[in-house]
Amino acid sequence: MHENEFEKQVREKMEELNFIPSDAVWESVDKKINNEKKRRRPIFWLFLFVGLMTAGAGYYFISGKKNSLLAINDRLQRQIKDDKKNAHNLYQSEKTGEYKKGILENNQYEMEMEKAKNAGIGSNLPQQIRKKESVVDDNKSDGMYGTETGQQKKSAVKAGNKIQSTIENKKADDNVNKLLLNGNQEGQDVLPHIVKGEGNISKKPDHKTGNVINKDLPVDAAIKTDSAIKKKQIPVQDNIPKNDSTDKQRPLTKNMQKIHSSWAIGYTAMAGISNMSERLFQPGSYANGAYYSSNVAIPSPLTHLPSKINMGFSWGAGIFMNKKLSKKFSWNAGLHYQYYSTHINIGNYVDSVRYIYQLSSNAGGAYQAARVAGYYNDSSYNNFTNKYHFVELPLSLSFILNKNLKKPLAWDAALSFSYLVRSNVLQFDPISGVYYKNDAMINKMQANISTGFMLGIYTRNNELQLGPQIQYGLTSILKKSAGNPQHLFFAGLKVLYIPHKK
Amino acid sequence: MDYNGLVNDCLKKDKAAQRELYTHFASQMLGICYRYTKSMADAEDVLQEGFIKVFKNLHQFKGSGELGAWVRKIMVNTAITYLKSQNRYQYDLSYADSSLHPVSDENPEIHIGTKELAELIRQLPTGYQTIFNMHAVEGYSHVEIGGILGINEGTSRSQYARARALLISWIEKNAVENKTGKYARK
Repeated sequence: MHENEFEKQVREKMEELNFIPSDAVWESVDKKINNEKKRRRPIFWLFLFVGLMTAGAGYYFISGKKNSLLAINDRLQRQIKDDKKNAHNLYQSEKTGEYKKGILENNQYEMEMEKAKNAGIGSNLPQQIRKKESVVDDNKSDGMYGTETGQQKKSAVKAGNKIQSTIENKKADDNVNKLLLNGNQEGQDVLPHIVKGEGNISKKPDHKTGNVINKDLPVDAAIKTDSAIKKKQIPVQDNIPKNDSTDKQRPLTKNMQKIHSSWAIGYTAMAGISNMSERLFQPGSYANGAYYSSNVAIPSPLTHLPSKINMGFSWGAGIFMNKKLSKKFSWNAGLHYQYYSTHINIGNYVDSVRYIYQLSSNAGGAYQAARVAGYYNDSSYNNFTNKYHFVELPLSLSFILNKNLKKPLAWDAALSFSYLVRSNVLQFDPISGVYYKNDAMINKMQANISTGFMLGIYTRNNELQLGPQIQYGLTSILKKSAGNPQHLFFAGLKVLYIPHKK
Repeated sequence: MDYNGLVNDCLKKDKAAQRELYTHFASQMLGICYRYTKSMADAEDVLQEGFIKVFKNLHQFKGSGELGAWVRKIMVNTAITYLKSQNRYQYDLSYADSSLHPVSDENPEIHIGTKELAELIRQLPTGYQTIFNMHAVEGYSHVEIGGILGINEGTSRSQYARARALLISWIEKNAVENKTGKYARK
């Protein structure tokens, strides 16, 4: 009998070995593969949902800002028209009297008033008052602005020579105040700056031209661009009268609170060190820890040891949407790029085909021979950097711990989902003792948790937060069947910058 | 059977095709799982895990190869992983040369039935059982077995030789008992 005859007989007999499995097996398989299908989809939808939310929030923020500016513009345009109309009516009504250019040209008007006074025209005042009252009555039908104007005109007439400048100044002032209040009630945070500036401009006569009324108001120009707002706002605030409560500049912290009540776009950056750990608070791991897996029989004798993984540099940057939920809570959602790296010591690269042994998920997690086009020898001559490039979708919640509104200290907690875009990470074959690249062993989808403290620094129009941050990968970088779990760990500094709407 | 068409339908998530593929291979694969384990319940567990992997990785199946061989390979690997993960198999899986059995070069004829032979194989210590199944039935070389199990080629070779000798002794004993029993019945 041939030497392999026994094996041949065994093989033939075992080929005939069949059993009918119970129905429960198929039911479990069917259930599992259907659940797998369903389980993968939510990850896609989650990414899509968060992406759309971010895009939507961005659109809402940008279009909301535009809309609020347009609304202000429209309102101020209407007000200007009303003012012009009132001024025109007043001018027309007074055309027959001695106050004829009184509305539009304040200085000139006052000079004429002086002249009239000197000429004894003041005796005609009662008649002028009656005419003005009729104008005022007409203006009442225009709404509150008209009413205010009329009342002030009455008092101005009674006051005699100070009549027009007082009327126009107060009219503009009150209108602006009302607009300010309306703006605030509607949550249009951008209004105070613009309207406050506007009120001051209209209230104070231009000493070069002598104009008081809104004919040459810089409102339109101020609204058109943020830079224009800035330009107009700064000189104006120097002229804020102390007795005007609405025009008083708010304390910085209150401004910041107010500014933050809506969506804000922010930018984030972080830098620090990254490392690999087998489990939380246990830093340090080995290149593809399959060698030490309890599930794998230990090769004998021990010939090849994998390199220890050392920490590397990590940095990231991104954009996010910030929303204040309350005085203490706010949350961020955004899109982030993150780079992690670790270092291992390996030998020289050999550009040659060879077979290696790897734990294969495709073969049920057992060691399987595979062919690689190139590999690194097991040695420690060279320092190799394992690089990981991730795109992340972080969702974070922030809670302010102190009461210092100028320098709030916040505690951050975040959950992020990330996708490995590119990597050059090497795996280790403990049997043949070589390092090789195989991305199929890596979990590209990752879930991370992070926490840290952020110290806020507010400037007039910006918010800066910075503080220490740690992050831990909930999911293993290596697939379950490819070796010991390896979780990415990050520790470093995080900076948030939120430019506020002006 | 048109395996390529069946695979394509399975990839399209056609439940009927999935069921057909399962039914076509299930009984044969359960036989394989049975050889590697110590109970039918364990064998069915392995079968279940194996088919989940089959359907999960079906897109990686190259149409040029035989589907049955591919499914079989997954089943064997799943069985090995299962043995490693179960504590009750851990002790037997150590391939130390602490309890050696004598080597035999005999090539006896097997006069027992398929199920009886399968039962004898399953009575081998798990390490012997695994290596014997892989080499004698699946046809893996000792180099491949060493790679899959993470042991030296020499260890695999010696363990197999001892498993083979032990099995032959049991087969002969079984044959003698059967013969004695037959005469006794007569």
